[in-house]
Amino acid sequence: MPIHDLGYRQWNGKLTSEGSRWAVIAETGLRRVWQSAWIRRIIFFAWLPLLIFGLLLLFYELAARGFGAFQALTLGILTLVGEPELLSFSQQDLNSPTDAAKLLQDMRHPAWLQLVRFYLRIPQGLAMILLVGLISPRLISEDISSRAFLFYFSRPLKRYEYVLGKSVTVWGYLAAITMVPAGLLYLMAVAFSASPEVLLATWDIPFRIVAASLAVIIPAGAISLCFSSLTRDSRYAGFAWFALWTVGIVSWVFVSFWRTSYNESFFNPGSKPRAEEYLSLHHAFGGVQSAILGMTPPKDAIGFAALLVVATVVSIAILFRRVSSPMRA
Amino acid sequence: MNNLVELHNIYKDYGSFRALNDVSMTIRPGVTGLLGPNGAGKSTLIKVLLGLVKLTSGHGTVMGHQLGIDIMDIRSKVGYMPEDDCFLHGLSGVESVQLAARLSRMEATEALRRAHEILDFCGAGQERYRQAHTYSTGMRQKLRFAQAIVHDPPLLILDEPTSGLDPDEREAMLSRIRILATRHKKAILLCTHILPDVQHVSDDVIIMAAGSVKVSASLESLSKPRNPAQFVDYVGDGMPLMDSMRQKGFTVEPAEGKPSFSVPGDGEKSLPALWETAQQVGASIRAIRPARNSIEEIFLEAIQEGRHANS
Repeated sequence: MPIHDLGYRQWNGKLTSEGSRWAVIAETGLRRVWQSAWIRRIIFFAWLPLLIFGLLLLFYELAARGFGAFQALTLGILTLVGEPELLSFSQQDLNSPTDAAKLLQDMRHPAWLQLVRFYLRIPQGLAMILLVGLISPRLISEDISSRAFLFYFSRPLKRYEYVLGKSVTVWGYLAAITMVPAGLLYLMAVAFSASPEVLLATWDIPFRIVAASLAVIIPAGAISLCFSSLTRDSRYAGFAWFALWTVGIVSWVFVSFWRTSYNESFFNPGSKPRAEEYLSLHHAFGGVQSAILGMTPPKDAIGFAALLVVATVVSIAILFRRVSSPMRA
Repeated sequence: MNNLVELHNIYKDYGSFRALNDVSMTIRPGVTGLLGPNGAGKSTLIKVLLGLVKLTSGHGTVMGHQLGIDIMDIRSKVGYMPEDDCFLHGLSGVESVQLAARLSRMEATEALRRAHEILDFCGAGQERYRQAHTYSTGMRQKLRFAQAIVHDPPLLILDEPTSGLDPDEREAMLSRIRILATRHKKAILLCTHILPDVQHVSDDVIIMAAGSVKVSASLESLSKPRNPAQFVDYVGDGMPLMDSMRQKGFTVEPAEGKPSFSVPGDGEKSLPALWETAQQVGASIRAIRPARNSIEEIFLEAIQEGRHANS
């Protein structure tokens, strides 16, 4: 028996704005996902590479100030993680610490972008695959299995509000491991440079980071939620998500190996991007991100961008169709 | 009194299957029982009212809003308690009700306060803090009921609200429904297979079969038998009383195995005569009940008429 049972009372309170329902679904989704210890662990580990990349940027800025001990190390690392043709320097440039410092200051913009691209593509890309594979499959499939659609859609909720709310849940977590740490990485780099002029020289990088992150977040969210909407069992949706990546990367490996081993000219040799890269979502995302971050000419990313746009549009179309189908039955 | 729901010539086809066939009905304030066998079209009718499925043809209004057009306006004024399990994974009972309130545009803190208030009304106790998917059948019914009423809708659609409840819980649920209808003037559409529930709380009854409305009338009018009679329960020996009534020209039919007899007629003449006779012969009358059609009889009659019409 409640201490202060008032019975049923009529309610005449103030209503929130008409367009707030998607935010309620998103907030509920974000809170529910956060309850999972595994998700919290993955997010924690996804933030660890930030320390390594922050350290690299610290070395870079120390080297750019003429600390010789860091110069060879920094340029070596850049050669490893970046596109060598964009960071052209010779051994002669490194003979004098002053020349090397000048060189590093001059190529600060492309070098930072190279690091950001590598950061977004490799550690954060892998974390993204894992995180989406754990979050998205449950978001809609559990609503189908528990018939929660009747709960949602017997209320004044539009389909796009439901889909947007679920998408924002995925986008929020993806942004938390891509856009936010990459932005922080940029701020760290600016702080290490200790020069306001650097801000003027690199002002475009935050915008490129946002655009490069969105280029991954939106298609990944749409595709993964589409899988989730196709089944009542979230395990199948999770399997489909991981299979999409695995099959793509394995196909890319096999075709690349086959090309280089037997028939180099089969897929227009020398052309960039190569045909097999369209088989892999990882390469498609990478191609678009490279263009956004200025690593490759935009024309090289048109095919990848078209692929991602088509995948996103088709996924959203299926998603909208599936979201209403349990009620039509 | 204004009709809250008015439907005119509603048809709904799923491919070649006609789920609703020329359905016309009105729903007044109070409790309306919606009855029908499986496949009668009750669930489809509810989906049509909520705008969850598109009409094939027909028109109507719900709370003054056009059916199939003002869908969001209708949903904001309707509280729907589905028959099937319908919960959100990972949320406790109180969180589920709070979410329902927030989707009806209540502010977060107010929604939580209101959720507790409604769960108190539903007798949810401390179980409200448990994950909803771990609930027993009875608790799930309470949760669905709370989710349906949390935003104080003027029209409630309750689909099998007492199904799976033990007698005490069933009585409590019916009592809540009655409170909402009588004290708070809610219009309630009660869709159920449990006929005594309808008799217990309903003002009006709609019986559907094979996608059509077979009966739509007030329970009062439906309960009136074609051949009215008064049932008289007596204490002790009832024979002198029955004999005296017969001598006065009334037809008396004793009930088998029970201290009771019936006197045909609406009681206008027979009842004064009965009291007078009882006094004369010293008989003790325990109760006098007018004969009424039971809801089971009304239901079966409507279904059989529907079957005959279809065959």
